[in-house]
Amino acid sequence: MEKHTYWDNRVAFVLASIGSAIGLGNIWRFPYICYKYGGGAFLFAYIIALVFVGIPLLMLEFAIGYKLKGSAPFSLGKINFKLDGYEGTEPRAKRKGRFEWVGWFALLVGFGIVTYYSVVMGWAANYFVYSFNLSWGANPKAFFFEKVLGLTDSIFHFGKIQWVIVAGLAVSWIWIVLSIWKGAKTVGRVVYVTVILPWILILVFVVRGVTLPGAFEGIKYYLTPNFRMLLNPELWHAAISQVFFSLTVGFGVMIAYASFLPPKSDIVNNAFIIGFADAATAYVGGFAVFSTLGYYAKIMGVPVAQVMKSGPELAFVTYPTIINHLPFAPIFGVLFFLMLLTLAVDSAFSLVEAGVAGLMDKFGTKREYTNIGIAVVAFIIGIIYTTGAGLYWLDIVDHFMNHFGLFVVAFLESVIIAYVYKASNMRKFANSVSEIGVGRWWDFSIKFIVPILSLVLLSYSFKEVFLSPYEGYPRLAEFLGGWLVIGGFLIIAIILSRIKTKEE
Amino acid sequence: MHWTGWLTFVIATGVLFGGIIYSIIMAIKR
Repeated sequence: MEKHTYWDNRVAFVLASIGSAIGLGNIWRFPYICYKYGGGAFLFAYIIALVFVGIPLLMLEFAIGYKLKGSAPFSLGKINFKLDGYEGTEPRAKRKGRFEWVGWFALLVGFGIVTYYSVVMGWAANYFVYSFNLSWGANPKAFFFEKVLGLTDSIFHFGKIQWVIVAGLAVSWIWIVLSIWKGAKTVGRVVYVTVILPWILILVFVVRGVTLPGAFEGIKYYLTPNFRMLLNPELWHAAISQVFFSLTVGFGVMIAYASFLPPKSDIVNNAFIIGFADAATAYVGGFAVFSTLGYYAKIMGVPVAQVMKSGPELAFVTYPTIINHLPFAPIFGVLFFLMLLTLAVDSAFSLVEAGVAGLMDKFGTKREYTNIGIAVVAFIIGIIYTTGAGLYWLDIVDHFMNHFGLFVVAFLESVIIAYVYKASNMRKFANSVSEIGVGRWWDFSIKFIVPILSLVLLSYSFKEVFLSPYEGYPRLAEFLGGWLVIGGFLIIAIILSRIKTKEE
Repeated sequence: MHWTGWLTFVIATGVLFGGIIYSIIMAIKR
C-alpha cells in the first residue's frame, strides 16, 4: 500500500473540487433549463435547492472522506451498526461494515459516466482543431451529425467507427491519465490551469456576447422571472435534479478528494465555497450563452426562443454557426472549444481518480497501473460511442446513470449517515474542524430532505420510463444501455465488496 | 427588461458572489 498523499494546500483542494463540479452541464444545460422553467424564477429555486440539498450533500461527502480517510467503498465500508465513536484503528480486514458495496456502486456509476464523457471531450478536441480553419463550413449541423458523428438512422444500425473521434478519445484519455498521475499532488497543480482558464474564457465570452447587437434581448429571456412557474412541480424537479447533476456528488469523487485533506482541514466552509462557485459559474455562463443567442436570433430575424438549444447541439451546431458570423471567427472557435475541453477534463479525471483511489484501497495496487488500467478499459468501452449509433447509446447511458445511479447513491449515502452513523455525530465532527458551523437544519436535511427528494426523483424517473421508453428508443436498447448497465454495476459492486481487502 | 428581471439580477448576483466572498472572509479570519 502506498503512503497516503495529501493536497499541497487548501486552494488545491478547493479548485480540484470546483473543477470536478463544474463541467459541460454548467454551460450547455443550466442556461437552457433556466430559460425553460421561468428564467429568474428557476434561479431562485436553484439557489434554494443548492443551499438545502446540494451543499448539505456535498458537506456529507466531504465529512465521510475526511473522517474515515479513504475512498468511497473504503469509507462507507467502515460504517456498521455498532460504530458510534469509531476512530479507525480496527484492521480493515476485520471490518464488519455492510455498506462497502454502496461505495463501489457509486464509483461504477462514475466510471459509466466517464466512458462517454471522454468521448464528448473527443468531439471537442476535434472541434478545437477544426476551429483553426472553420472546417464545419456553412452548414455546421450537417457537418456535425453526418461527417463527424456519421450518425445512422437507428440505434441498432451502428454504421462505422469514426476514427477521428477515436483519435480525440485517445488524446482525452492521455490527458486524463497524466492529470492524475501522482494523485492529489498532480491534480493540485493541474487544476490551477484547468479551473482558472475556463473561468477566464467564460468571461471572455460574456464580454464578447454582451457587446454584440441583440445580446440584451437574449439576456431578457434568461433573467425575466415568471413567478407563476414556482408553483409548477416540474420547475422544482428540474432545479433539484440540476443541483444533483452539477455538484458531482454521488460518484465517490468528493469522498476521495476529502480523504486527501491533511489534518486540521475545514469541511463546512469549503462545501459552501465550492457549491456557490459551481452555481456562480453556471450563472455567469448563462450570460455568455444567452447574449450570444440574442445576437444569433437578431441576425436570423427570429425570436430568441426559436434558436434555444441545449446539450451537444448547442455546443457543436449552434455555436459554430454563430462563430461563423463573428469577426476573428477562428480565434473564438479555438477559445470556445478550449473552454469546453478545460471545463470537461477536471470532471473526467476526478471520476477516474475516485476509482483509482477505490481500487488502491482495496487491492493495494500501484497507482500508475491502476490509473492506466481504468483508462484502457474505459477507452475500449468508449469506442461504442464513436460509432454511427454512438450518440443514441450515449444518450441512453447518460440518462440512466444520472436519473437512476446518482439518485440511488444519494439516497443510500444520506440514509447510511443519517440513521446508522447518525447525522448529529457527523455534524458535530464537521463543525469541530470547520471555520463556520452548521446547525441542526443539516441533520434535518440529511435525515429527511435529501433521502425523500432522492426517492421522489427516482420514482419519477421510474414512472417516466415505464410509461414510455426513454426518448422513444426501442425497449431492447433501453434494456441494454440502461437496466443492464445499472444491474451489472450493482452485481459488480456486491462482488467487489465481498472480496477480501488487502491488508496494509 | 422588466424590473423583475433586474431584481433577479441583483439578488442572484448578490447571493452567489456574496456567499463566496463571505466564505472566503471566514476562511481568512481563522
